[in-house]
Amino acid sequence: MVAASLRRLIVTSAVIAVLLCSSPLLAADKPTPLTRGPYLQLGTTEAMTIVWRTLGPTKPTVHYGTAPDRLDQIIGPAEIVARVSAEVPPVEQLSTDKPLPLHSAPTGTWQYEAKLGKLAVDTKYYYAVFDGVRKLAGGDEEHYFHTHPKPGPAKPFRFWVVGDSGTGDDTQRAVYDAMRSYVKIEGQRPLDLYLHVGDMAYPKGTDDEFQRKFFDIYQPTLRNTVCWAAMGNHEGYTSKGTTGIGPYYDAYVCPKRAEAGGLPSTTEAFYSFDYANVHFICLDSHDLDRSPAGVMAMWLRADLDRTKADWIVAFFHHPPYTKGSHDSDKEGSLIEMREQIMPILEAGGVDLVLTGHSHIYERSMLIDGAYHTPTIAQGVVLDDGDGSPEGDGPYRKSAGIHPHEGAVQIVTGHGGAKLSRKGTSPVMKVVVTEHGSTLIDVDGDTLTGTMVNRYAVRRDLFQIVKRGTVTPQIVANPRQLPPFKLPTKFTSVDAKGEPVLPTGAEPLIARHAQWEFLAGDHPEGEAWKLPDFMPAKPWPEGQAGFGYGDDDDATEIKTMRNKFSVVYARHEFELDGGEKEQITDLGIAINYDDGFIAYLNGHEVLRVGVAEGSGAKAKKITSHNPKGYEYFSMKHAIPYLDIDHNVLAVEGHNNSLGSSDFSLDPYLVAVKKPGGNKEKK
Amino acid sequence: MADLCRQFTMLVAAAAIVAGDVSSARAHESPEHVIEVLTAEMERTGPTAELLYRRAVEHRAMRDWPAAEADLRAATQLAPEDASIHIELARVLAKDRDRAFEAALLIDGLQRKYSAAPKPDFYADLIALEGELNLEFGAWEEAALAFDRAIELRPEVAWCVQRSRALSHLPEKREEQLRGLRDVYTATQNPALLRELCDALLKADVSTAAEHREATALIEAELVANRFRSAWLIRRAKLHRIEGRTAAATADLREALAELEPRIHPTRPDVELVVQRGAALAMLDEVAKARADLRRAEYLYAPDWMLAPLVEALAGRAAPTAVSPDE
Repeated sequence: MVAASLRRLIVTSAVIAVLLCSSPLLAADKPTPLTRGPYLQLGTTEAMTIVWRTLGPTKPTVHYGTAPDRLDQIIGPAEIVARVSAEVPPVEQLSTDKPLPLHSAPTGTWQYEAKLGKLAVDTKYYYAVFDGVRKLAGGDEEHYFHTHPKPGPAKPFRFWVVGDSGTGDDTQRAVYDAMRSYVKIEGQRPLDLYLHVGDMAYPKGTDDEFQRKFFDIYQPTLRNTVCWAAMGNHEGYTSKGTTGIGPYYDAYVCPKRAEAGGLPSTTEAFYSFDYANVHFICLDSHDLDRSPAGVMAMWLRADLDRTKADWIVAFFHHPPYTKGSHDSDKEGSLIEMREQIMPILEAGGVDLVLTGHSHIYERSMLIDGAYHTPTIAQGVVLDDGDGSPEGDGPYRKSAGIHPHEGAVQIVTGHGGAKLSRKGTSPVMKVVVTEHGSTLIDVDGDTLTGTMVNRYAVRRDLFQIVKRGTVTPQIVANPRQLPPFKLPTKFTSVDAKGEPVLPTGAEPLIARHAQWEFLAGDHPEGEAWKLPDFMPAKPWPEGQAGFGYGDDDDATEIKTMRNKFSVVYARHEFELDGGEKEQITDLGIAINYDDGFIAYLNGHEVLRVGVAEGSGAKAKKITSHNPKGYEYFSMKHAIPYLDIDHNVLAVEGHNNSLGSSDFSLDPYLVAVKKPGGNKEKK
Repeated sequence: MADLCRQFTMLVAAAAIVAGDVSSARAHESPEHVIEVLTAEMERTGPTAELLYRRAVEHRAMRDWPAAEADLRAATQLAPEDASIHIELARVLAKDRDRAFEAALLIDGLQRKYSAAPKPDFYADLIALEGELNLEFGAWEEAALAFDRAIELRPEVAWCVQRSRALSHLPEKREEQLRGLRDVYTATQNPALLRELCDALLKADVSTAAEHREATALIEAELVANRFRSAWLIRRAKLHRIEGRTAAATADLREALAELEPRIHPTRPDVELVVQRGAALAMLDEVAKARADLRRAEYLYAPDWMLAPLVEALAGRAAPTAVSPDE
């Protein structure tokens, strides 16, 4: 009984290609569209897996070689793993052995996984995928891969780390484009690896969400760089680490048998691999046992005991230290990763821990032994400097791997999802509430981390240097970041009803400008808060302010009383090149009655008098009598400004349908560095 | 299963149940925020099983077990046929040593309900959950049987390991235990299984010379391949002692201790390393320090199977002098 089960345990990807290629289905003349990829997976020193999908079956073939015009090696259907969506009855009739199903792929989807083996170490290859003799993709300069260098010897390389990116929106694209722009800057190097620390397909990690929010966006990188993934909680909605089934496990081919180094984990949920002089460890922090007695912890100890790399980098989804959109002092999975997994990693000599989940960028000092709940800085900081070669200098560790010499923690969950911050973790040195991603360069004994924001601007830089012998010393009273305070809403109005603006404030949106507005209805969805909104029925335009009943409205809405209580308004505005970087303060001046919510490029940036909800679901509107323009600082919203095209959207709320008046009259101002002022229409 | 339930009247250590996380589509917000939103939604629309279940998951993320249980119980009232709610409730109950009996009853009921073919995907997890409870409560035969059934439905390394641990308490099943471990390790090369296999081969008083040779080959290979070697040095020392090579054993134990010291964090070490150190000290007759490590490991909630090498090494040794856990 057990023996039969054991046999199943070692069977991984059932290859049905032999049967398939004899199928008359494959002789069909109809062109078969490529629906996903091709993309790379599971790179090793001598192998690479190329994955792609088609709608309908094909005769899968990969041609590859060391030049795009010399693809002189071929792997055919007999050696290519095929998986199919659930409903493909003709194939089931052909085979006595059912093909492995894809979890929720569109009907008729075929996924092919071609493992190219016996490749030369550290070599660039080009490839193309075919349906029989018909090329589907590749055979050009863009479709290539590098086999891994030999484990051990140092070789400079770079990897990209992004987390919580799977929104499919412009922010995700901006973060990706910014990274690509940054690595093209002179002196920078291209990516060698790509790590994703989870939440790559919101909200539920379905096959369709993976396609639209991961593959469609990152394809230019995925076709020539392996993405090594860690599962996030949102993928966990449809994929399970215990069974290895779901869209996440369909999308990735991860090592189960130490194909790329490390020790066999027997699961794709956690694994390790080697690249040059770095040992990478991926853990499943979401849905597997995180206890020190669990199978994952047992594997982790053995894997750490075994590696002889110069560096150890661990990555997983749930951060041991964060005060971003999540709090590592309060949430179980985060606490367990800190209390139960970090002692194992640090006893094994981990150097760098990369996580996501919390939608923010946080980077720690050099720390060790910070397992206490709540997290404290006392007794755990080995270097309280900024680690920057341009500042306090790099963090120093002994050459090789040594236990408890300190690790740097990076929460890089700012790849696309809405940002937020609860506070400041005591062990953090840098906290940036901006969208972006992280680049890590390893060059021999030096590891360099760079955070690049969505505008391709470097926002953090640190180094770890492992050289000679360093005796770790606890810093008695480590310098910590100041406590975080939520942005306070500064409001001020003078005796004449004029707002008290900051010195040098100039309008970005002029007083009484023309706005688009919607009265008597609610907009569908959230798109009205974003630039380039195109409603099915155009919104009318009117001069601010909007309202009735108090003789202060440029655009009177006479039908409002007793009929509806919300008015929506939006105004798009442009910034000139480099202008955003000149802005040092931002604020809204508004005459309002009774409450409002303001959004900048889709981000809620200010809420006054509306306690709960928004739009039709807004509740608990506080009564407010207008007293002229009041000024509210929104300095915290500067990161949400786009470098060129922006929109300020405001929804105004009356606290009752029968109210005698309503006012919504906003304008936007900014303070810029001297010489940068320019009034906007 | 009814027998099993009766055994739960003896309340022992808390069941270390693997609780599968269930995320919420809103989990990109913090659990507190999601709880607020779901609570507001329920105030507006009234409670539904789905909303209660989702809120329970967030409560669990916050380790608020009573709130999670309350929501799940309310959800079962609204959707009594939804198995996922009952399973989640069983997992939450099993977190509390005082509620393990209730968990067992719930699991029993669910197994009966879903025993007809075709069995749902979660059936294997239900059986494994039963196995884990049995293991915690010392019902070795029942535990082994449950893991056999779970493995038959879905082979999992964790269940193979737990099956082996259950069988290790049944002398008459030793061959079955070793055969199972060898088969799975050969198939997977999984290090968790290698460890189990070696420890099973090195069982004092019962292991044979052939088993010693088998263990030696495995241990020597690990000692050559590994950077950190303490776990394997201690195993080799144990083998040396079984075969009467005391000096060689002492040398290995001293080397293991030298490697372990810098790895053991003074305030909250990896419990496995504490157990290793304790076992090495006990084998060197440093009983008081070994017992201090045992207490520390217990304080860190090491399960019995993890403590076993240390407990075994201490068995029959002289009573300790007083040593604080911090020593």
